[in-house]
Amino acid sequence: MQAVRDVSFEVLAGEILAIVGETGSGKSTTATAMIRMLPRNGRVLSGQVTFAGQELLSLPNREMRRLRGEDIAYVPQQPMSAFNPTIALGKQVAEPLVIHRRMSYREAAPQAAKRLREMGIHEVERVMRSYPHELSGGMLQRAMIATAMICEPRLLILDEPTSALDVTIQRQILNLIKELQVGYRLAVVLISHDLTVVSQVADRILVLYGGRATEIGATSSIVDGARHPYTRGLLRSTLTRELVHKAKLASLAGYPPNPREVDRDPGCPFMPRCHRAIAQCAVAFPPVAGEPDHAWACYNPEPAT
Amino acid sequence: MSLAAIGVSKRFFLGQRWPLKAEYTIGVDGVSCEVTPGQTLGVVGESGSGKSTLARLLLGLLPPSGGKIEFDGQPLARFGRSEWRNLRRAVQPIFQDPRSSLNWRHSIERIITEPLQNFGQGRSERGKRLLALLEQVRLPTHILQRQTSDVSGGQLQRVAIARALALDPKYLICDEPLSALDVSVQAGVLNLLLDLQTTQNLAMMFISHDLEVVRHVSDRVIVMYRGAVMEDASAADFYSNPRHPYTQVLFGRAAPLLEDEAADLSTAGSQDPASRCPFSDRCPFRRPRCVQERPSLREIAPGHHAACHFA
Amino acid sequence: MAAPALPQDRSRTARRSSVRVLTLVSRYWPALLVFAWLVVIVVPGVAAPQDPLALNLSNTLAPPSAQHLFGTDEAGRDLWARCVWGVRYSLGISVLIVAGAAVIGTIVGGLAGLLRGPIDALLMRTTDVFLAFPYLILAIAIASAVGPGLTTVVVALTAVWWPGYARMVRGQVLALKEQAFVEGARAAGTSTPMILYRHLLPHLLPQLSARVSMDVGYAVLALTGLSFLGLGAQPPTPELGAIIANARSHLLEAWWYTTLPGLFVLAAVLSSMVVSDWLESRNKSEFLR
Repeated sequence: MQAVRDVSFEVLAGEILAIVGETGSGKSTTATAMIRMLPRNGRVLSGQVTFAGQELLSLPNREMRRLRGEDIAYVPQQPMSAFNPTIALGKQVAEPLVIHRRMSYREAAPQAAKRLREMGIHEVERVMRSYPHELSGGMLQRAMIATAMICEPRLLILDEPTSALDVTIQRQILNLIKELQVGYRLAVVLISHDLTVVSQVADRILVLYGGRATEIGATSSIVDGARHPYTRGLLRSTLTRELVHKAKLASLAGYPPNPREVDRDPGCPFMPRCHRAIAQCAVAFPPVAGEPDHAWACYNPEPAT
Repeated sequence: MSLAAIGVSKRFFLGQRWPLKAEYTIGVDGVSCEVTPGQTLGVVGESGSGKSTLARLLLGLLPPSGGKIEFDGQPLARFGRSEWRNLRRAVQPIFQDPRSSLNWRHSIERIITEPLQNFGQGRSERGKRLLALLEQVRLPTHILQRQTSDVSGGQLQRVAIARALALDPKYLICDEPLSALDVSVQAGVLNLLLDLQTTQNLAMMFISHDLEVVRHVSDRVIVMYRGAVMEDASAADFYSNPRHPYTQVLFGRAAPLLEDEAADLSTAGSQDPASRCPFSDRCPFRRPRCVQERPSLREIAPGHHAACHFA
Repeated sequence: MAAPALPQDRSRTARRSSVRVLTLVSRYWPALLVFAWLVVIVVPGVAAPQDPLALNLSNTLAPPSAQHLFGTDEAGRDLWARCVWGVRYSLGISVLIVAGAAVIGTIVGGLAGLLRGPIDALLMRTTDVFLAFPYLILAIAIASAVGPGLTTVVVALTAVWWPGYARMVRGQVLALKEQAFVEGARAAGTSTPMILYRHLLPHLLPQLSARVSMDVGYAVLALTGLSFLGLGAQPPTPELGAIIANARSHLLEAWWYTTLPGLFVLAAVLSSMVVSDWLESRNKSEFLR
């Protein structure tokens, strides 16, 4: 089963790229593939991943492991489950230093404390002594980000950082990410299924559907002038103030593709649900078209606004 | 005709180290609300606010620790077998995650017809009703023989809705019905729920953490925090003029909350709630009175209540 | 000149389908094993053409030969036939014992787990009482009361076997009943026994069946052991344990007399372990929730 096909993008230092997609879009697979953390039955078939000029896919495992944690940090989904429930948090936050900088836990502790404070946690000593199940989701997410940032990486990849959190905490975490981006000139890849949430912080957005890249561009271009019917459909089906109370929403017909069946058809995976589909869409996936900072893959895109 | 919670409380027993007092966690704290036909009551709150517990209390799945739940004026506590059967028929749930709230070892057909089986409908009647239900929720008939793992999230939620509608209920309690769905699919399911309410004059309770969705579907809204109602107003008032500080924070209109890591929501019970406002440790407008006296839910404008001394 | 295309195609498809059969067999061969045993139990005549009860005093304790594959016993009866029929008893009755224990245990454990409170306490204390009984002593006790025999041992073994299931099922039910779909079932008006049967049982079955198939092996050992001691099957019933008991006195003169029934027991127990392992490995792959 082919989860991702022909996806290309780049992230620059000091910018936040959001990868947005739903079930079967391949967003998580893309992210884990980039840092060579695919599950055992996953394989990269073709393409390259370059980090600061260095090709990653052909790197020996030892080198890759060094990069991970030092220069590239990955924050997985569900902070509650990402920590080891049997080890105190302080130790886990300090762990990257112990591994990469050869420090002892005792030496690393003050740095861990400093990071946690930087992430907005106040009672740092108490938190470091606590176990994951004793802390709230918001705090665990901050701790997770602290762990990721402790070796001062250049690239931070966050997989659904706000999905498991409450609305008020979501906002705080997003602000935190923004601060890190500015303060450290971090390159950030933010993976999410929620276009509206990421549009608040992202500089550029990449939209995936059915394992394919369908649209990419600056946030404002996407939000105000999306050209791909899927992106438009997503934006239209979100609630806005102008809607009449209890009126029906413009909704996309059908359902996101089954990840297992997505690679069977040669054409555009969005075709079954697309109201702008034409005959060509079933034949082959559309070529990329567009402007310098806004591109889309569609034979019959929505007109420019 | 209504389903109402009247001063309902629910606390959960945590443990007891004898001879010390037993420890409890507060699920719901003195909540009153009502669900009426043709109307939607929106319930907003974060995790730990007690909104799911409130749903289960109204569904009769949990007994209240205090106060009462009334169905058409009759308290559930005094229900006999036939009254419970009527309640089950009339009040049905839609839960957040259909993958876990539907038995994944059953076929779709079995899932939808289970309520009909429970109430003794014959095979041919079940068959007819099944087809009618599928049409109502706009699902194809070939889905019947599938297992839940072969069905997409959006379709599965429609299955859950079909199952809920099987007994022709008057009340639909929806606990975050859209949250587990893909964004492109949420609108469709929401439209379906709105449709059903209109065509069947259903009374709906719509729980969500998403303010926009709640605004769109509700006639009245209550906001819950740590088990208690903070604000209770018509949807229009709620969104045009939120008065409680917590509501304002939710809307992003007030200063960020004071981060209080000690406020682990599950230990709220150990802080003697009777003497202070439950929101006081995170409220940006906190004043001395807030930690000395617990504010009651008072009417600050016609039909608009808030539990704050200074709203 | 090249060979015509048709015969080649046919052999290719034949090869493909034989590959398919081979993969199916390699994946499901324990099921075939079970099937083979079932055949032996239900229609023993297929495996053993000779009559196990046919006496032939002129040919007692004969070593294996063409006519009698594994020789004869002290009454001239064909040993192979006696063993095949014997395994029928040993295995068949073991299955009954374990199935009975599983059913009783599931009901007790299930109700205890679902209902909790005083019923749970009552049921579990009863379970503990039975769990404490050593089956040997119980069998002797029952035998001295109503006499030895297969019924005696069946009762004794079932009585001490069901508590293990009750405990296992109760533990699983306690965890399962917190699942969201149980709540959904209640809201749909499903009664408690129906929840156990309709909802929980499908989730219990994988682990139950793995355990049942493993216990059949242990039951065979227990059953043959008790029969060996004289508490179980009585002559002339050809139960494996009874046969071995008889064979003991002829150990030095007729090595095949003790060995063969022992091999049958080994085969039965080994098969049950193999099937159980296979079921468990299949269970793990479904446990993705």
